[in-house]
Amino acid sequence: MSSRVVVKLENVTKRFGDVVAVNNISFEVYRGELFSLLGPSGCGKTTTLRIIAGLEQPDEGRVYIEGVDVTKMPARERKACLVFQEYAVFPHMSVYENIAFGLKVKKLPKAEIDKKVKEVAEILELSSYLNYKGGRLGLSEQQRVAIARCLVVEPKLLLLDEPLTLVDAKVRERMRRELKRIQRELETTMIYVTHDQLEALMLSDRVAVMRSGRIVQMGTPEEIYDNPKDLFVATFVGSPTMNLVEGVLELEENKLVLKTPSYKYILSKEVESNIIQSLLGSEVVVGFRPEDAEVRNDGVLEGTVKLIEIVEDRKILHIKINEDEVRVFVDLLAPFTEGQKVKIRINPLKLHIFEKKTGRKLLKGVVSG
Amino acid sequence: MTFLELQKISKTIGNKVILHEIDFKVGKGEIVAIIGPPGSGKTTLLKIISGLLAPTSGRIYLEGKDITNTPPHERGFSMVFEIPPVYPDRTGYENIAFPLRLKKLNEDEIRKRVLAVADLLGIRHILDRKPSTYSGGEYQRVALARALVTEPRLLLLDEPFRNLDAKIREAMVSWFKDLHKKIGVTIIYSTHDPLEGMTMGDKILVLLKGIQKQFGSASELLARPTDLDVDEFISIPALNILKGYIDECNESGVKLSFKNAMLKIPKKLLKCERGQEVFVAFRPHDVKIDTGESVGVFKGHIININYTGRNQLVSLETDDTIIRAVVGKDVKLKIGSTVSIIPSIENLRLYDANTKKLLE
Repeated sequence: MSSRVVVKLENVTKRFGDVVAVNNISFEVYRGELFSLLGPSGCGKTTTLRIIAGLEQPDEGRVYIEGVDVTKMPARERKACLVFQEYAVFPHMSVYENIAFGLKVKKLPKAEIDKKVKEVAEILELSSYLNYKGGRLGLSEQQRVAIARCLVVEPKLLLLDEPLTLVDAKVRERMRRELKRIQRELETTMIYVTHDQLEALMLSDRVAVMRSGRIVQMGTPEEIYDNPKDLFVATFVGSPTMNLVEGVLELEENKLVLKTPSYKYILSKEVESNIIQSLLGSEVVVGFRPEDAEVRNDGVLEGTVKLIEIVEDRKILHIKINEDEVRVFVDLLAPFTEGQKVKIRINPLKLHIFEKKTGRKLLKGVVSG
Repeated sequence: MTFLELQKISKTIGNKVILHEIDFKVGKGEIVAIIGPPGSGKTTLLKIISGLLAPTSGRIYLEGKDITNTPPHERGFSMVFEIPPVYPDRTGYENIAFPLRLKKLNEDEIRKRVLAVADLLGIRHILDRKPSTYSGGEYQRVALARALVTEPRLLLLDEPFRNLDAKIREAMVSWFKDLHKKIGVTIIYSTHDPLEGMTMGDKILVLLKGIQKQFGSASELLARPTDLDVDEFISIPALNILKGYIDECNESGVKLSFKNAMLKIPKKLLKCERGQEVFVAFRPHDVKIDTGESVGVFKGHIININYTGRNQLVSLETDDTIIRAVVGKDVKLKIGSTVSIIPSIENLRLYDANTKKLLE
């Protein structure tokens, strides 16, 4: 095993009664990497993390940390530190004592403890809180104390289970930026569990998307977002969700057309027929992200604005086209009104075509770059 | 037409001011979003409107009638809390029917109403099931159904989407806006998430530390935050704030000086002084960066990059501060490299450094 590998899971399965929580999964996490397990509630991500921590025993498969088979090793011997969703900060101890706790247990000299605590507090912006009692802290500070307590013992591996779920939107946004920076500066290997796709994209070097106990796709955030392998990943990752239209693909006068039972969509005016030939006539789901379509006068699809939302710096028009509804971004100050008729054009390079029956990705882009 | 009006509602507990002179009007069928961080007084305000708490001073009017001292059950409002108390031992049907049973409606009427609201909310399939089998979204809908089944005049929702997974939450927000169009009930709801609040609300009340900082539509808030605290709170990712001085201000615009930079903006201010200390604020979306040798206003080096799918959020360290920029994901950037930073001069705002008030 390469020394780059810090954690390795080999065909790990875990059952709870009749439920297969983790179903034969394997992956490797490299040194200094932030690796995320992303998926909806009940996908097995937390169980996977608990297996790595040693809090659960797998029914099948092996777990290695730094090349050592730890499958049967008790949690406390694994040298991994775990941060939970509900942080266990000692309320009657000061922040300083909370952070120093793990070092005192190890019986380090006082001066060394002091130096390490202060260093970590600096990184996590807790220096001004060191004398506060744990119980007086807000959620965001408690959060950071919980992480500091782990970081200070310099674990080989830091495991985080949805640590930002309970903090408010503003703090969460800041913590996403900070965690990424801290992780890179300290070169800590982290495994991060989250249901929040944006969090996974913003923090991770690599992401494993999980569903029903299995890893559906693994890759860099860019790969996951730009090239989802199936409909599940395509719709779970990305906000607003990718637009989907079902139908049968056909070519008409070199235009790519998606036929639904009652309508016909012109998806693209020019198509390289050789890349699309094998798909013609089959039932597909065509997907495109809201940012890959635009409202313009020479658009090929016409619809009516049903709803306008504000998302960060942009407006999203919910446009009803026949019986489908698609979302498209426009400028924040663009003067659209509900009920207005608009035309949209989809970037043909950014069309994702999925097989309807299996959800499997068949093709991305209908003209070559 | 004004449906509900709050007039200078204040609440103090002991010496602590929880709410200070909250004052706004709600039109019939509108959604008002109360946005603020935890501890800003959102829940207290909702409880005062519902009648569960009495204000220390101020009045509440419903269609012109003073209801300040009207007990909660006579107001005809429904309130759903952050963690709605759905009874675990009862089916969906019984949970939704519960408030109607309290009103002693006859069984036929109850059945008719429960089914109608279940259809409206798309939860007919869970009527026979108990809450332990619900998904997060279903659970929330049952709570909502129970609040709606009494046909309340006003619906009060305290952080209704807080405990939902991000993806379910996104779907719930759109679904809820759609539902609201069908039923048209007047809603006041709270959230700690400014983006969610601005998506949901026809009007938004920015509540910071118990103070009503601003009340208006999302477009109004974004285009013209009246003070720096509002601008800072509603901006996600975090707002860029730089301290600077006014060098010159006249008909043609304002010249600003920073530690190591100058910036001229074509904005005519009504009132300004030379040497006045100001905060210059601009959102990360309103910054361009240039990797070439162009003449940017600021120079900075990249200390962090967060990929967001659509874009990348870049943190840049300048001489005296950190500036965040949202840039397209096709731009190739490297941590440590130096770039020029160009804020969009049309989209930056000036605030007086002492009062934090918007300079116009």
